[in-house]
Amino acid sequence: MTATTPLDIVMVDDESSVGTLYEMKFRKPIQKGHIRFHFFENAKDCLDYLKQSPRHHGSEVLLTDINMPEVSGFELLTKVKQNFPDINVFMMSAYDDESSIRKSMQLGASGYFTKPVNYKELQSRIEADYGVSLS
Amino acid sequence: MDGTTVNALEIIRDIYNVDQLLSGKKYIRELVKRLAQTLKVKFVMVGHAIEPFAKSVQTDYLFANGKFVDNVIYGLEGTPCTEVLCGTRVNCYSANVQAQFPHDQMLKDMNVECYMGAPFLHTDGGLIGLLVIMDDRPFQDLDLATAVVEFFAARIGTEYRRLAAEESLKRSNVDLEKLVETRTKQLISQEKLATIGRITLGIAHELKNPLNIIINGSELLQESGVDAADRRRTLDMIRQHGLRANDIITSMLKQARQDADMTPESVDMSNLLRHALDVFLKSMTDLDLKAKLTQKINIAPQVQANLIDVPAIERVFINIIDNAAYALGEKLLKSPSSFKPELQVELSFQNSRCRIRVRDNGIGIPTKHLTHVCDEFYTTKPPGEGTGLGLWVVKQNIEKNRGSIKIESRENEFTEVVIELPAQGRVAEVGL
Repeated sequence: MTATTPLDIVMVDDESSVGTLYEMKFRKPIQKGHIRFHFFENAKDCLDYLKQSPRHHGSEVLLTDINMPEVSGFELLTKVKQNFPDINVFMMSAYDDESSIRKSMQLGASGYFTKPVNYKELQSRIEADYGVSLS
Repeated sequence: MDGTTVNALEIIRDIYNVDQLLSGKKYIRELVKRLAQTLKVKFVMVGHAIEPFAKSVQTDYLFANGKFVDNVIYGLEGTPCTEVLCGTRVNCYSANVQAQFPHDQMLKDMNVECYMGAPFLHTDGGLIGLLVIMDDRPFQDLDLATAVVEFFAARIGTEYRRLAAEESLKRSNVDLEKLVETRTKQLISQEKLATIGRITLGIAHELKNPLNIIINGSELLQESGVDAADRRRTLDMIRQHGLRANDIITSMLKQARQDADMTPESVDMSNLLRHALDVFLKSMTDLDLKAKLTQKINIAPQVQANLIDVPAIERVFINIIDNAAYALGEKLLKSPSSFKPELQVELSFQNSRCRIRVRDNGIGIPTKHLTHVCDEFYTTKPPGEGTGLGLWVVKQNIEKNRGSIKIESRENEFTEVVIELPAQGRVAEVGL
């Protein structure tokens, strides 16, 4: 990643307020050009976006909810890992059971945040993994 | 054998052969009558000592002057009966008994001249009661009377013990029935709690979503440099999600509340069914099934129904959908690669009834079980997996709400549950 390539944060959650919230949380790094934020309310729209957008190797991260109608976060994770293996996927879910976490890891997730998401944890993880400042 | 013995044996045989069909109280009654007739005495009495102090006797059979008369209770003090009850064998006053017991008013009133009594006992030797014969003339054949009275006192004792055993058995049966009833109630309540547990799991998950917004939103507000528009927007979101959390808790409390107040309530069945389905999906633990499940949902909107116990009907839906998921999960275990699990949920309205159809293509129910699935304690699940009360409770709850349930199934092919409940129609139609 070069200084000129902002990090693309792609987020999927059937709850639109989550998008609104993170858009505000990421307001400063977006304004500073550190990140670009893309929010989708369903997995299908997200996959469509990923298919048509150019790849920026190593500068894309996907944060997804698990429990969503039609296509679940698990299915999205599977498809992304098949088609875009370079994109790291983090799960954000109210499920805090071990089996959901284990299944995510088996399917190739890079991390798992339980809701309510600890934003500081999320921030430091992304900052550490991508060398980008979110503040 | 002397004459008395022969006579006694004949008399005993004669009395003993009382109608063999008689038993218990009727048998004793007949014995008493025959004793009076055969021994030609005016009075025959069978009674029991009143516990705990055995200071008085309650007569159970009192035969006087050729007929049964009302039973009495009398004090034992100063009566020949005291002597009888103190011993174990026959006690006899062959003549002039009143002179020996001058304080016994009953003897006087009945003008009794001779008295013979024998106690009958528990198997452990404890006292049960006594058999007494009395007459206003001295006994004609004392030895004969003694043999007969002794024999029949023992026979009556056996009958008393049998009656007591029967009574105690009856009492234990009643106790057992009460116990079964209590246990059944406990199981029903457990079954309800299990469903509520499932609902709670779904709802708790649902609660974390608004909390996610509230917590992260308020943290955002604590940061510096958030502009006024974002601040307003965040506050608005926090409020909205706070209200949503409240709604979620309210619906949870509705379920936890013991027995609804039974006043009919107009409810949007479409929402109720959709919510139940949502709760089910959110609390689904079989993730493999969840990933492979095809849902065919066709819920007519805004169907209004008048329900007596709304939370119970929501539990009915969750139970039925849960059963479908169990049938699908079991089939998926058998053929994980080829089986395509499918769940159909439909709500329609016709002829003042709403019809809920839940169909799965799971393991199905064998014909021999199908007619019993709604029976109390009927389960085909392995021990520990089902109480056998799920569908029974479902049926009770549906009937309580004036509805009906029909289950069709073919083994290894499908199960279809159709529930019908009284409905008012679609919102637009009922003009609400």
